[in-house]
Amino acid sequence: MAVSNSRGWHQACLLALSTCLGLFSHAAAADDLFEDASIRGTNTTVIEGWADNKNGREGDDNFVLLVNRLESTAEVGDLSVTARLDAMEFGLPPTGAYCSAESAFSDAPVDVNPLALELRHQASPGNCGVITLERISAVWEGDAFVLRAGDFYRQLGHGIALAMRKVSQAGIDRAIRGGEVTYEGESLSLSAFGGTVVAANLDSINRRYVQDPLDWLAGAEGLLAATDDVQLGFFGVYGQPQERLLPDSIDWTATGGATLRVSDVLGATFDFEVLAQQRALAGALQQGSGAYATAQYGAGAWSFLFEGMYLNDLQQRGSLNTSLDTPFLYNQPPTLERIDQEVPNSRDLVGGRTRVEWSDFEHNLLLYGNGVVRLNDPGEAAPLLQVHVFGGGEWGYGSKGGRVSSALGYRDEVQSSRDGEWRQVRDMWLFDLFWIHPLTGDLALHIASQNQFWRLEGLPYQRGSTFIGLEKAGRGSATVEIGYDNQNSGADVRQAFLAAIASLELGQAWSARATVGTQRGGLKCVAGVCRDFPPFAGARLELAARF
Amino acid sequence: MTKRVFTSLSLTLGLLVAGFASHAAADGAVPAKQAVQSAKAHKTAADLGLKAPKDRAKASNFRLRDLKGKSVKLSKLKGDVVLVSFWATWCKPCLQELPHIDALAKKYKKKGLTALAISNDGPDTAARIPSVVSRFRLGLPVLHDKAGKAVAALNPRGNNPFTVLIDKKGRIAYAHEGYAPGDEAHVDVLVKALLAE
Repeated sequence: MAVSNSRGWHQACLLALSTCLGLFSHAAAADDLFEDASIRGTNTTVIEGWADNKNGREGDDNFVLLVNRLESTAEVGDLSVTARLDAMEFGLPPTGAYCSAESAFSDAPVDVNPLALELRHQASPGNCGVITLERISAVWEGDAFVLRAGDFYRQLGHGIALAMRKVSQAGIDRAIRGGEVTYEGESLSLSAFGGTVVAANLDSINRRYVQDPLDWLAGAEGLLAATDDVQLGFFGVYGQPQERLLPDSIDWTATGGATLRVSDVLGATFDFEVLAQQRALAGALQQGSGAYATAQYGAGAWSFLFEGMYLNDLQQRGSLNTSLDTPFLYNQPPTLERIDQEVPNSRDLVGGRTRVEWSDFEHNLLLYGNGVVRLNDPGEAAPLLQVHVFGGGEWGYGSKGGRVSSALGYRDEVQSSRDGEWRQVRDMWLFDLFWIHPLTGDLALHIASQNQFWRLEGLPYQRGSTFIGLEKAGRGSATVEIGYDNQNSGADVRQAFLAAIASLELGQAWSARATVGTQRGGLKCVAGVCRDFPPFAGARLELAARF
Repeated sequence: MTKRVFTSLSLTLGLLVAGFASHAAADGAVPAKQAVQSAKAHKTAADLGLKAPKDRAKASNFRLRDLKGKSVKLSKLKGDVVLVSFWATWCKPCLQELPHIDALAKKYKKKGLTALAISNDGPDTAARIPSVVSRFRLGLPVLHDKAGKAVAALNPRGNNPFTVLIDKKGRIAYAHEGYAPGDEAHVDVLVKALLAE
């Protein structure tokens, strides 16, 4: 983007921000409104000292990192302004690319991003870092209307067309920077939004800088509660990535859909969603479609959930994520899976899930079974069939809140080849245990264990983590984490992990968490988002303050 | 050099803010006149972390819909004490805590407590929300925060479980992340204190 244009955008953003702050100040100056004014926030500081994490790679060891995140909200009357300032500072930088002249942390960024509102710390042999105004938004709430300017998250329907959610644990946080207007009636709500996509620029997992994709997104949604038991919805979204496959051809995606929810039909609740999509990629038009449905039924002690999904070449794809080297995806369809499972694709699949639960309410006991079948890329040359069956139980006991839950399951993945033969790719047994046992006073023992036993093309490996600790209500906890992962081997690869974790609550305003030792990395899925976490070795201190 | 100064200022600002918060918290932790004694623990609400009224900041408004599409707006609950519990179907401590939140909601509903259970399940796990509600026979409103707007307003770190108590004037009186057995007794003391204000 040309420097002159970038300066103009930069000035426009600063002007908008100044206007908001000016309005706030003016409002705050009025006595009545000032009484209603307040400011609050949360500051999180993480200090990490990394030793050699023995992951078989060089350049990511023996460094010190400080990450700070300050989020604050100012409120006066019906107006609130929220800002988040992130900083990442390397001291004793690793020998890897983090502080090199070519890295995004260097003084001369490759691309000027006028909407990023960031400051780059001067690179030097000793340290480097970035401060960035990660998020800023102003919201005005009236009786029936809500106006939002700045950064916001947005989901349409069940997330199949669009799901821009805060997933900061996995370091893949995207928001829309623009505007949103919403009308909220008792039974009808209408909204329209538009803007450009900005990412959480500081990827705390890989310690990399993520460039904002600046892809354009715009859409609208309507929701009508037609009766107490019937809800109708419709939505549309248009996306246009900044990156083009061909320089002379604009790539775009347009998706439309409708939802229907019907409750209390002989004790059952039904949810439906249908979607249609048209895309232009490198000048060629493509179509996609999708459908999703759930049926939930409860009768006495029994509860049933049936879930089905069909996606035919449906995707909401953006520009390249410079940290992951994969495109940004702006949708997140239901997976039908457990939250900790890897999902091969969310674009082309057909599948279903059934879950049956039986509860003994008097004895606080639950037993359940869950089965999933997913066929990925059904029309392609090598479709992948996944079958996952697991079951378990939960039991609450005693008057102090003791609880134990356990699950056992099996997963099988087979893939077809061109000759039509199906062969096993991998399978897995899983075993989970979660136990909280109250002791004297406010003290409780907790044990959480997750274990997976894999065979990948006939070669076995195991991975898992077990946490054993004591916690005191309102005070904190002390935990030992034992991990193992023997998927990779070698002289410089650690397979056993041991860490001590202590957390402390210091009144209402402070909490602290310290970790010393080694922790397993690998693929971890949090809230449906999977990332490859590097193993950790060293010490970490996290301080959170609320004001 | 200038940029290094900016980095240092930013980090210093963060620490100063935290220090201010600590100071403010220390003021707030001085036993308030409205302390309420727990029959068992004999801890005052201030001991348990209830902020003094002068230290409470206004809670940001949000609107969400419950599982039947009915709209719930936080600002319309002014006049009630509001207990907001953030949870997710995959969060084991959340599932431990929810029945206690529901019990508190029933116990104090007629005295002016409104409890809201806000799920921030993503698209991958949202289908299980109704079954959790029926399993625990939850009577309190269960809202689904699909786009994370309530999370952004009240729970910026996105923790689960996360409990917020809002006083009758719409100000945040208490916030707590995590759940351990015994926390529900503390929240009971705090709710009683706020209802008595």
